[in-house]
Amino acid sequence: MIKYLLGNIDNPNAAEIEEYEKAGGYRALTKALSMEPEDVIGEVRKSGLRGRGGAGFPTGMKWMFAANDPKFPKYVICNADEGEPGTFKDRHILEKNPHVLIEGMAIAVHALKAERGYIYLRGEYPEAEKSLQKAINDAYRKGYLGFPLHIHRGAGAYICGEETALIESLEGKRGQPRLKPPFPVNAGFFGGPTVINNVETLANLPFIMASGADSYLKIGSPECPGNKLFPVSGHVERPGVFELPMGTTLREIIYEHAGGIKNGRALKAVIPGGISAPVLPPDKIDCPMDFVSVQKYGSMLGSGAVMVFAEGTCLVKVAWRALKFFEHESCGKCTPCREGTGWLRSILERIENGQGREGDIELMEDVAGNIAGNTFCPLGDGAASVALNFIRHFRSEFEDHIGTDCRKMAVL
Amino acid sequence: MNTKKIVKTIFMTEILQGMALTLKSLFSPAVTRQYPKEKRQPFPGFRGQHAFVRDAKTGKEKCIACGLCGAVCPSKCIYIYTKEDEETRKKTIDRYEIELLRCVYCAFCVEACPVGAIALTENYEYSDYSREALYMTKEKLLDNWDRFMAGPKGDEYFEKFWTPKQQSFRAHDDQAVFRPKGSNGAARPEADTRPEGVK
Amino acid sequence: MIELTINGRKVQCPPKSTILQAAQANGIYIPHLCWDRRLTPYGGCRLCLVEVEGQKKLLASCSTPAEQGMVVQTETPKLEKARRTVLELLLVHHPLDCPVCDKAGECELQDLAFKYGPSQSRFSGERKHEPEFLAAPLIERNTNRCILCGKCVRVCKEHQGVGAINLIGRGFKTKISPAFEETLDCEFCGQCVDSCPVGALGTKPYRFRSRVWFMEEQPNICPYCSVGCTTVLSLREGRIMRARGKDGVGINEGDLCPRGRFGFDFIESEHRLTTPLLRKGGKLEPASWQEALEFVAARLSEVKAKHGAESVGALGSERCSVEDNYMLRKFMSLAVGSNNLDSRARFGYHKQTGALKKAFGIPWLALDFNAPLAADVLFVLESDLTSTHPVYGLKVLAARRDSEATLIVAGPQETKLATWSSTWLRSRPATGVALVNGIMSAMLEGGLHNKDAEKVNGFPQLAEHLKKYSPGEAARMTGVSAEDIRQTAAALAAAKNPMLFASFGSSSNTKGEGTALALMDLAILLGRGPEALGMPPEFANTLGLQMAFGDEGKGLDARQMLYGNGQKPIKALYIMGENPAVTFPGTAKVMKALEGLDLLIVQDIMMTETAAMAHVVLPAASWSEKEGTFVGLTGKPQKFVKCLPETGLSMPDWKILRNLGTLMKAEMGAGNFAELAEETAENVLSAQLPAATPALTAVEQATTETTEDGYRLLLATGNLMQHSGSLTAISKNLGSAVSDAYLQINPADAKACGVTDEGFAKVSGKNGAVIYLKAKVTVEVPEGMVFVPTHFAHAGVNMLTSPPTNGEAPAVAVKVEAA
Repeated sequence: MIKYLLGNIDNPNAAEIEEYEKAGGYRALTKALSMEPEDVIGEVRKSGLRGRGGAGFPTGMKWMFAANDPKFPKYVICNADEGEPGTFKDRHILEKNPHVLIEGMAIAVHALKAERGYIYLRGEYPEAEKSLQKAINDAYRKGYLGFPLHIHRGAGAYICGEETALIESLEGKRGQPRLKPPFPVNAGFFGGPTVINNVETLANLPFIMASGADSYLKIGSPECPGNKLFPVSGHVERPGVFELPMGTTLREIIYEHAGGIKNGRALKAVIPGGISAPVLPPDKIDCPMDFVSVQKYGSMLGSGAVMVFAEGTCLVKVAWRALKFFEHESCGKCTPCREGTGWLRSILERIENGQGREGDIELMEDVAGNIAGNTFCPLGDGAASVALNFIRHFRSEFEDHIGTDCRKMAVL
Repeated sequence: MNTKKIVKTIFMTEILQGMALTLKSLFSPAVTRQYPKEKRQPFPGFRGQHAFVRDAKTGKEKCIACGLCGAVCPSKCIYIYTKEDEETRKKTIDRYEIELLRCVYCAFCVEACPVGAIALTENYEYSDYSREALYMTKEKLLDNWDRFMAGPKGDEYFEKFWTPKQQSFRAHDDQAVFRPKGSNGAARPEADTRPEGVK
Repeated sequence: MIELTINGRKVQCPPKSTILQAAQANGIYIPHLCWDRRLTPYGGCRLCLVEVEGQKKLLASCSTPAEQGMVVQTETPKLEKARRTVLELLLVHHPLDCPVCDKAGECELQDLAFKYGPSQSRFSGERKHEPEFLAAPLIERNTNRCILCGKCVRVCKEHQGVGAINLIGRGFKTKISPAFEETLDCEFCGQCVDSCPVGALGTKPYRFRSRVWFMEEQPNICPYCSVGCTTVLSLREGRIMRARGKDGVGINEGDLCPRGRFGFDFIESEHRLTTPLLRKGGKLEPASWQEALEFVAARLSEVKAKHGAESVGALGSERCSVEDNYMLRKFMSLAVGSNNLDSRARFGYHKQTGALKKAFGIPWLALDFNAPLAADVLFVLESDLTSTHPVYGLKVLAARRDSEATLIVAGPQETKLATWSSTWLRSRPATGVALVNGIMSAMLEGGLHNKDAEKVNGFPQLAEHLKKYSPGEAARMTGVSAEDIRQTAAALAAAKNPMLFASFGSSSNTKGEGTALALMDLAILLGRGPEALGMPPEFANTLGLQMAFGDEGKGLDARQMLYGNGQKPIKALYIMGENPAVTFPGTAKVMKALEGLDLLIVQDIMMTETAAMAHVVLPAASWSEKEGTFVGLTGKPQKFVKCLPETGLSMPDWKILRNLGTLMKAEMGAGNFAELAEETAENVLSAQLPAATPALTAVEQATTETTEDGYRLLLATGNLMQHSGSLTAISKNLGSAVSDAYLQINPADAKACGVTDEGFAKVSGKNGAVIYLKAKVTVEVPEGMVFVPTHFAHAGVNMLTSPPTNGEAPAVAVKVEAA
């Protein structure tokens, strides 16, 4: 198995440009620069690379849309605003292997004939900024970068991980999602065609360019080729980030790579793709982890962040904590999300505190059902689906919880 | 003509029956009331002259100057002019006038009032020689309350006649709405158990 | 045209419409809270959801483009449920204090909750308990009631071009606030208040004054600038409670400026005249109409007999109706027999009409209000259109924003248009002619001009004349780089539909007839006619007054009447609705002339500084207390109506003049207003604009006053957005926004003069006049220039200015010291 994202993670000096070069770094960029931009895009399209930020949109397609737009200047933005609870995969690239991202950005900028690149970095990653800035400086020094590449640190808003809100924030406005269409590929940053890719997506590019789309296609599952970083957290023996081919089953991730459930307890629930992804019960863990399969199992791959809950965890509390997060992070633009997340949170809060009432679950289903699909951006959908799916799979636990305080059995 | 009718005619029995009633009434007590010497006590809830409820706590009128009484009035005889209170910066009444000569005493104003600030007293003796006297102002209306509705009578009036019958009529503690007596902002049933129809 | 099906009905809509627009155009109602015709879609309220066949999700109709063959449902059980949920969610935190909320009765949330939803939410959560924000003038904010639709924020930023407020905070804690939660300090146009669907924003003058269902609505024409907006008055008991713009009503289609929205309260001012006043023993004493009119008639006849009819003059008013001014003319010719008739327009609008006659041979301009929207290059010369004609200025802004036209602003002041411009040529004050000459020179130099212009009369002379104004020379005179001048010339020449804007107000002293003429020359060189000019008249009826007074040159004008330089041709003056002692330039001279009169008759709505000097003061009914006609910038007459009783014994101006004329045995006609209106329509308003015949005139840049001897700052006077002439100084509402004159001065100059921000400055002119003003240190004015608004009588700004000569109104040099 080839590890090309975090393959050199064990090297303590992996972030140094010399080490990166030694491991074959920046050769992909050199190769890409020798190619026509159209051919680079063609190669990426051929590779079948899908965006690693959550939606799994084919990257080559996105690039093609932007490249076909006659407007200039064009921009490449790296979305490094990794705010999804349970997700910490990009951080490792940013801190430990920043050059793979920078090389990826340089390839993207070349392919799109873009004017400049931005890295919208999560505000809570000061270490990443340091290593990234050093890496950028080194790359300039070595002459790899022929375009301005800026780091912009966010101010800690989850919504700015949404691409249009990210653009607004980058433009100096209030971080709120924009209307789509027009999509950023046609009218993004200051109206110019803009490609926004996740850190991991961009980090895949050097491998694709260096080894070719054909060898990339051999990794992972046919619809979703390539490696994926799976950050595993929760009640497992060995939490961490694992670079595995797409399509590795959830069972393999939890029981082989993460060392199984902590203290040999039974598995109660697992969230396969960050907190916005619907929760899965234990009987569905044979699900292969790629964008297509997870959807068939009733959830979504999202960022691939696996959150494991062992027997004894109070799932009402998990749901409440998730909704509390969404309430706090709702930007306030659209009504259902702004008011609805708070409402759901408060119902869950009173169930959790043992003050739940008859009909609360039905009320929650009604409210969440009406939020889902009616919000401006996916944040509200995510919040509603958390509530709906926890109830769907674990209804009895919620029912039992009404009128009882479970803090005695909470282990989380 | 049959015999019965002949007897009736000859002996004038109908006249005698009538005379008997007259005789009976002659000795029974009279029904005429000697108003104004003798005054009739109206039934509770009688819709007489208006009064402004004086808030026992503040000693001022309860009116929040919302103007719903004037809006609902079918004969448009309520004139309400409002302003901003310079001290509290809250809404307050500048002038409040009821033209009694046009009022039809339907009590819609009492029903519409969200805070129970207006009442119809049991006073029906307010005829006068001038129109001015029949033009009620805020001061006169407050005075009416003191005269006719002060004490438990006023409480009883609202309790008995103007408590909203629908229990689904609820609002939040900090909201200015009419509230059933005795609720005092205590915990009310949570909204989720609201009866059907108010979904 | 796109064809789609809404609720089973086949409807059509223009391309690029959204579903909501398509539905509205066909009379189908879709509820919405955050959508506004004027603004870009926001999609936040989620009430306008509709079902589209083939789409799983409900779509927000305000932001979904209508497509050919789309099948849309707007009222289904599913949608009703979704809307009910949205309303319920909005009511989670709404305070429901409708009984004391001024919006109740016309609140969109209230209406929608009534139509679709619950009267309250199933959920009672923590509400906001923010205090009301009442510190700012004119506009109150109650964030508790806010539903965060963001319309106010967008109307302020996108439409008005200000951006004084924004959303602050995140999620439920979001609130609308000025930056750093400071007290609101903006233009106070009040557009945000009209756009608010709930009671979160309100106007303070209306606060708690009445419920909406007690009031009557009366649309009326705004009495201030020449745009002629329709302001919708809410009346109760013969008083105006508030004025607002209503979407789609009037030429302004709902937009208003501070004056139109808040300036109505001058009617109720305590300075209003309620009875005729006669000077007895040196003091003005109340008198009856009989007494006053008999006095005037007798004294006028006396002056006439002694000095001849030519010694009587009259000043009309740009604020009075066409009928009033027509009556004044009739009175002067029939009862007095004099042609000495003029107005303040002599110092403002006449700069433009004089130029128009020379350049195009037409007496006035009829502007197309929406023409700026179709222009692709807009050139604004030394004018703050958004202050002088705010709603017309919005069209210029809209052209810049919506059709992405090029906006070139030339002028020393950092106006709103300058901040939104594509190019701002920061020229030195009062150098407009040199700049335009430079542009024309650059155009001829590059051969960019329209070749048809070469056939126009005067072209060779102009071409010869422009050699003096080569871009380099113009750059030296104006301070704008030669490169910028050349680029502007190229941009204008390349434009398909260029427009040239300038406003010529009597209060602005940096532009003269020459400036207007130079701009018209430029228009001709661009191959354009008067349609390319955006030069609005100053006041509501400036154009109407021009029409009513008709031909000039018969009698003495205002300059000859009041600035006689020792000669006193005028012995008696009849002033109708004008305040020359404050609003005319060089007031010291004017005062002297007024003092020297044998008879001064002032007919006005209020006790003005001029009225205080009069022998007789006649109280006139104001706007809304009488009916009449205004002719605004479009040249089309607009009727305004009477909706209030007259104040005291006051009478409409035309009636006073008719009565007086009749008393003086003249055949005045006009038995009632209808008769007069008919006569006016026939004699005045039927006038047709002749076809334009272009001619080019060479214009020389006037030399501005020398700036030596410490008099090194140029004083520019002008208008504020919140005020109009000296009339609004008695409006308490507008006074709460701006109550006093101030001196705008550049930080560098302030430092050199020892003046501090908010400190007092002594401003002295070469003519010996000295005034004291509060200083506002700002970079809005460049070095070497100070700016003062002229609206406030007690500031006496016009003591420093001088009347224009030869159509020029040069900025005056002043000395500024710390006071």
